[in-house]
Amino acid sequence: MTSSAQVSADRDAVLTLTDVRIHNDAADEELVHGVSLRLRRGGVVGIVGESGSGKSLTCKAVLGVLPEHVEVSGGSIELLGRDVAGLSPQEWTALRGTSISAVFQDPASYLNPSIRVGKQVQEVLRVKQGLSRAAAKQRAIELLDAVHLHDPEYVYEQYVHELSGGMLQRVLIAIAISLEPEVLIADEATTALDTTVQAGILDLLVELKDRIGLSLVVVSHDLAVVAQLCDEVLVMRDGHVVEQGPTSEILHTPQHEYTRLLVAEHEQYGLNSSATGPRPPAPVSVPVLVPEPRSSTMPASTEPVLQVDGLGVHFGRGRGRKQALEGASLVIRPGETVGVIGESGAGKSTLARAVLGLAPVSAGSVQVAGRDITHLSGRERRAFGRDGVVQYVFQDPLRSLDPEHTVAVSVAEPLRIRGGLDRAAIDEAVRRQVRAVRLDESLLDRFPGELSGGQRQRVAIARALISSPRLLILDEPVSALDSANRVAILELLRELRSTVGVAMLFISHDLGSVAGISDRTIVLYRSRIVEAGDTARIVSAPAHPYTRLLVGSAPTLTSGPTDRVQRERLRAGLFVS
Amino acid sequence: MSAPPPALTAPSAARRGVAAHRIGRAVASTARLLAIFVPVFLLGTFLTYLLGHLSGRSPAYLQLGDAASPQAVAAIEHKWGLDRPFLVQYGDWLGSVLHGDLGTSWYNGLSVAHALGQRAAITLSAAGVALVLGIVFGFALGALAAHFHTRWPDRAITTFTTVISVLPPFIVGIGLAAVFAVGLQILPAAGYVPIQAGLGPWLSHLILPAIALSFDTAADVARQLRNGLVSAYRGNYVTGAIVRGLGPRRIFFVHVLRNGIAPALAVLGLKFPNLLGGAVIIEAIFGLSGYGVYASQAAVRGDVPAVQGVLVVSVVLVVVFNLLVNIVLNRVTPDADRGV
Repeated sequence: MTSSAQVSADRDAVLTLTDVRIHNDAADEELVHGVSLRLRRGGVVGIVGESGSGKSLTCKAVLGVLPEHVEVSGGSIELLGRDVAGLSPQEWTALRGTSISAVFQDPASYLNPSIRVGKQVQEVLRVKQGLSRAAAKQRAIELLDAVHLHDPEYVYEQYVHELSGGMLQRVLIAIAISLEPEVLIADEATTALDTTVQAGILDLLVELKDRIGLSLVVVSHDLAVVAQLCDEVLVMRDGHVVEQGPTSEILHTPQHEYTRLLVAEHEQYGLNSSATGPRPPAPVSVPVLVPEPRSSTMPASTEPVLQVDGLGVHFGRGRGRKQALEGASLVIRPGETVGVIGESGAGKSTLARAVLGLAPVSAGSVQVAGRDITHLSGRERRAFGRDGVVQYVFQDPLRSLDPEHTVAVSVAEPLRIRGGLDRAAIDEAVRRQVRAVRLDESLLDRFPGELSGGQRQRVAIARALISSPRLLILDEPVSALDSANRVAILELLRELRSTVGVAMLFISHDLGSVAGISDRTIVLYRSRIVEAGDTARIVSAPAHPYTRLLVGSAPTLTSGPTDRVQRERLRAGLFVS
Repeated sequence: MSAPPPALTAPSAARRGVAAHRIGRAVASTARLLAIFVPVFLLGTFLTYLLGHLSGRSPAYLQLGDAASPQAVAAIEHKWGLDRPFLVQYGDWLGSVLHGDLGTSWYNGLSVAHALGQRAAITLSAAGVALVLGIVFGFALGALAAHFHTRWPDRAITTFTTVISVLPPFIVGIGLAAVFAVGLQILPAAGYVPIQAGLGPWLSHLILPAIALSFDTAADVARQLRNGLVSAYRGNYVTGAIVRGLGPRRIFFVHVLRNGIAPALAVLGLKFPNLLGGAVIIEAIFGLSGYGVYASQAAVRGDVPAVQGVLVVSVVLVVVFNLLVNIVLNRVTPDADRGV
């Protein structure tokens, strides 16, 4: 226990924020308009909101690491009964790590790339606790072991670029808890990690909370992540706390419109039992909302749009040779939507690139609309691309749209490349397509930088659909979007699926998005298809252990502690196999 | 304790290979080092020798003047072995170079290696002191500017480095000599004293040419270091280190400097040839009989072996220095994985 100067009247609270306001002096605008919260010892408070809602700034204020020109302009932050407003830089340095610590999104960037990760764990112990080199190393390895890093001695010797995101987040958690702080802030600590890895990190946080008595502040844009862990939730938007209260109340009777949207997102597209019902007995039997069969809209022709047989792809040669895909087979018929799910590195994007004729295929064949495109020459591939039979929508529309092209120019591009249409015809097609993706025609002359993330992705979809492709590949199309836009884009895709009737290959690491749109789903795990079948069946009765872990790991509004045990068993099983 | 999910498992076999892997990496990087040095050295010496050959110079004209008869010329060329095929001459010359023998001057028949050895000490002293000054002042100014970035010390340093980087060394040299040697009379204006005669006299003769030479290096190192440090300070790992409760000094020296230093070091590698080249001009101003003066005299006389000797030594110095810089870079930022 720290020697807090004054003992606050509220003995139980480790962190208290009272009407904290944060102000940007350079732009003279208030960014956070009053946040109050009380974190009791051993408690977990969650903050939910989109990027720009002020949740991360609030965390930075608590840690005393606000950016330049940004400062706390009102209210008070009390850490262990001590107001942090008057702390000197030396007092801050002494307090950080020992009383409060934090982990963030993108763990790779929070470790020094030039120093072995173990040394960075050791560094804190030596500097802050005065341990000898040997003692600090031993303790560091113990800590790496405590965060369930397999083979901690090996991890100790690695550099950042040699470890995966999930492993690095565990290293960061090891550092954060190394000095046994009272409060740990997890700011989007699992965002952008694979679902199964995310579940592992969240499980670890819960375990550490119980084992070493941490109090947690968990910040996320995903309500389900917060709901899983927290006793109390704050919902933030545009610097305002729009709703605050016990987790169950927020989930069951959301008051604010934005909170209802967050809840609805999970009800609609997430893997969700009714949010008001009792908890399901086991996570593997969660019912799911699956699109109704659309036999009426199915075209009569059943010649496959895509037929992949025994596809193998490898990169590199010699000892560096890496199998990226092995024995993959799948068929997509006209109008069908097939989901591809798997963790990063499982081969999802390799599969997509092979379908475009861009991957070095070493075995098997790929046929698109009856044409074998497995081994095209450069000229043939360009002709194939001009035809626009297969189109591609990328994860990040800001990077896949030319920033120097207006919306109209970008959308028209596939038609101009193919040629044979005059200016007026192209213009008419562009307008029709832009309307079809529910974009206002007034946006046609805008540049990508002037659009919102959701609008940009609509532009990318319009561009992909304008050449009337037989197959549309969507590679993580909603992963870079916030909740509201994710719901809207998925809705648009469902609509286009029935109106346009284009076949889709929908790639995602998020089971919720895949389940919400796909007729069938294939599961990739370590370069192989380990399971394939009707989406409803995959979700309700997953057969392969990895699929079961995936279904059990999907963040839901209702998962509880039993799920954790279940997941641990699955992980152990996978590891052995 | 439960096993982590599969995505997090480190390959257990890999651990046994860690030690072997590290040794393998060291061997591989040494091999890469040689793989770069040997071809550069061969190409450099070949071009050097080819230039001498193409110049059409002959010791005969140097020794006999205009009165040379064709027989006398042929006799002398035969004596020097210049009537043999070019590649044979090159191979022969390269063989002696590898033994440290740079041949004999056509002008006075003395050993080039011996003459250069005496003079290189002077040039390398000047360039070496300039390098040290450039590093010390460059790093100090760069670090200071980064620390106060966007505030007035930063702007003052940026202005200062911009000004000194556009001043040519010979102008600076003349100015320094005028002020400190002629005006204040506290330093000698010309000449050289070997270091054996004492550090003070040695340095007092070298300091003005070295300062004149160092300006450009100091300015470029300062600017690169400032930018490197400023962008390193923006790194999330700095926020991470702050949140872990590390102090500002430790964060600067352990985390920021290490990641921000690479561009400054790379620039240092580029500056070394400039220092050697600049020394040639500076030697003339400060009356140092270094290898630059030797080279220019030899070139004017058409003393091909002497010029070739200077070039070979320069090539070796520059390549070795750049390899050293790359080795240091690799140690400092292993993640960049530059090779050598």
